[in-house]
Amino acid sequence: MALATTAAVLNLGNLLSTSVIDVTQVSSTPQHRLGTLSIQVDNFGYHRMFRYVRWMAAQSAGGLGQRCALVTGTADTTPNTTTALTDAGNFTAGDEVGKICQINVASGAAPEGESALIERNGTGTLVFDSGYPLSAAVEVADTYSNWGIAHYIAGAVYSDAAPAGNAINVSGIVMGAAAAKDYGWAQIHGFHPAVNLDAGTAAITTGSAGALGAASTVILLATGGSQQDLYIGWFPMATSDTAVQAGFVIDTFTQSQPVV
Amino acid sequence: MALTTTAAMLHLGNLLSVGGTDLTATSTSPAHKLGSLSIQMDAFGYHRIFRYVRLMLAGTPGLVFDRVALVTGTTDSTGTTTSAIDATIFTAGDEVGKIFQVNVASGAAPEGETALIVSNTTTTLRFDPGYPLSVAAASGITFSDWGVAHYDAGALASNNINCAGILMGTPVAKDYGWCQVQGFHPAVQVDPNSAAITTNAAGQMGATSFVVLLGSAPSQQQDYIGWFPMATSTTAVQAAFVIDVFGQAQPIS
Repeated sequence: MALATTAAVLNLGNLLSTSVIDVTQVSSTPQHRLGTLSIQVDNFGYHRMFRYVRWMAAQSAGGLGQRCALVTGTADTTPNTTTALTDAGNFTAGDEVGKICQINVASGAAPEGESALIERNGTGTLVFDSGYPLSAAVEVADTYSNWGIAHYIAGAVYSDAAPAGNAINVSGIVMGAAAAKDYGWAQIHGFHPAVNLDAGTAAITTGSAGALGAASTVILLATGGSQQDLYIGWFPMATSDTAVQAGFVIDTFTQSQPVV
Repeated sequence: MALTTTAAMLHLGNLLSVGGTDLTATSTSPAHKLGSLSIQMDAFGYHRIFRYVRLMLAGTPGLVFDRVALVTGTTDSTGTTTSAIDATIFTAGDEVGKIFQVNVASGAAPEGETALIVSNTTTTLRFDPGYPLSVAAASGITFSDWGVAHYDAGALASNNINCAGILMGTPVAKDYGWCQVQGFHPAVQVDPNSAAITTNAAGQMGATSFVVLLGSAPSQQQDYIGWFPMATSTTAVQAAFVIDVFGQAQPIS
C-alpha cells in the first residue's frame, strides 16, 4: 500500500512569500511548485492569499477559471508499472504534468484507489513521480482518472448539465493575463479591488453573494435554496448592471462544498 | 473574573513549521503544544494544514478520528481556584490538555468559567495556575472536561465540529501526533463495503474511522468533512480526498 510505505507526503516544504511583480507575472514554465501559497496583505487592508496554478486556457486579469475536466481512461497496453501507465492516444503531451492520477478500479486489488503524481506525459504514457509509486503495477484494463489539482480553464455558469462551476472547482481570481498553458497566480482569499463582472446581468447589491458566471466572470448568486455549493465570495459594495468590474471578497481558500 | 484578569489567552505562541518526519512521528509525551498548526504544501500541489493532537486510541495513517466524549461530573469535595475534586470518574493523565468548564455553580462565580487541565489523578484535576478560576471550585458544582485536541475512533455521521482530520502517523493509544485538517490527502481510508465513491462527491465520517460518501438527503451539512476529487470502486480501501475540517464549522442543516 502506498499509504503505509510512503507516509502520504511528498517533498514537503513551507509556504512562499512573493512580491507583487511575481504575483502578476505568468510564464510558460513553472517558477514555483504548483499549489504554492503566499499569504500577504496590501494597503487595501484585507489579507490576500494567492495560489500558484496552471492556466490551461487563456485568462484575463480579474477573471476566474474553473478546474479542467477529469481525463479518464483505461490502461490499454504495456508498459504499465508502479510509476507508469499507458493509454495510447488519450493525452496531449505535457498537459497532464502536475495532475494526480488515481487508479479507480483494478479488480478489487492494489493499486485500486491509490494515487500518484504525474511527473511527465507523452500522448500515450503517464510517468509518475518515483518518490510516490503505486504499491503494485498498473494492469491492462485498470481504469483511472487524472485530476487537475491546480489546472484551470475558463469559468462558466453552473448548471445541472454543466456542473463543474462548483465552488470546489473555482480557481480564484486571475492575477496576470495568461496565454493557454501558462503558469501564474490566483487570489483565493480576501479582498480584490477589480473582479470581472458579467455586464448585463443583475446589478450587484451590497453584501450579496457571488457565483461563477459566464466567460470567467463573477455574477450574483441567485437567491433560493440548495445552492450553497456555488458560493465563491461576496460583494462589499453595490454597483450597477452595466459595471464590468467591482470590489469582491473571494472565499475559495478551502474550496469547500457544503451539502445542498 | 478570570476573563478580565488574564486576557483570555494562555502562553500564546506562533504557528509551527515542521518536517515530513515530524508529521508522521508519534510519541508518548508531547513534542509540541497541543493544537499547534503547521501550514505547508508538498509536491502534490495543494496546501496542507496539520494540527498536533492527542490520539486516545491506536490508529493507522489515513483514518479519521472523532473527538472524545465529554467527561462530566459533580465535584464531591472542596477544591481551589486551580483544582477540582471528583473521586469517581477520571483516569489518571487522560484529562491533561482538556478544558474544564464549571457548568452550574448556583448562579455565582465560577459558573461558566474555564480552566486548562495540566495534570490529573483518578480524583483530582489540576489547572494551569496562569489561568485560575476566579473563585475556588466548591463541592457540588457540575463541570465538563472538553477534549480540545483529544480524539478516538470515528463513527458514522459524526459532526464536522468533532472531526480530528486525517491521521498522519501510527499511534498507540494516548500517543501524541499530527492530523491533516485541510487540503489534499492522497490516501484516506475508505470503507470497502459502502457505496462507491463518485467524482466530486462529498464525504463524511464512517464506521471505524473510515470516510464514506455523504448521503444525498437534505439537512446533513454538519456531517460534511471534505470531498473526493475522483471516483473509485466499492472495493477500494483508500482514495484521494480533500479534507475540509480546519474550520470545524457546523453549518445549519
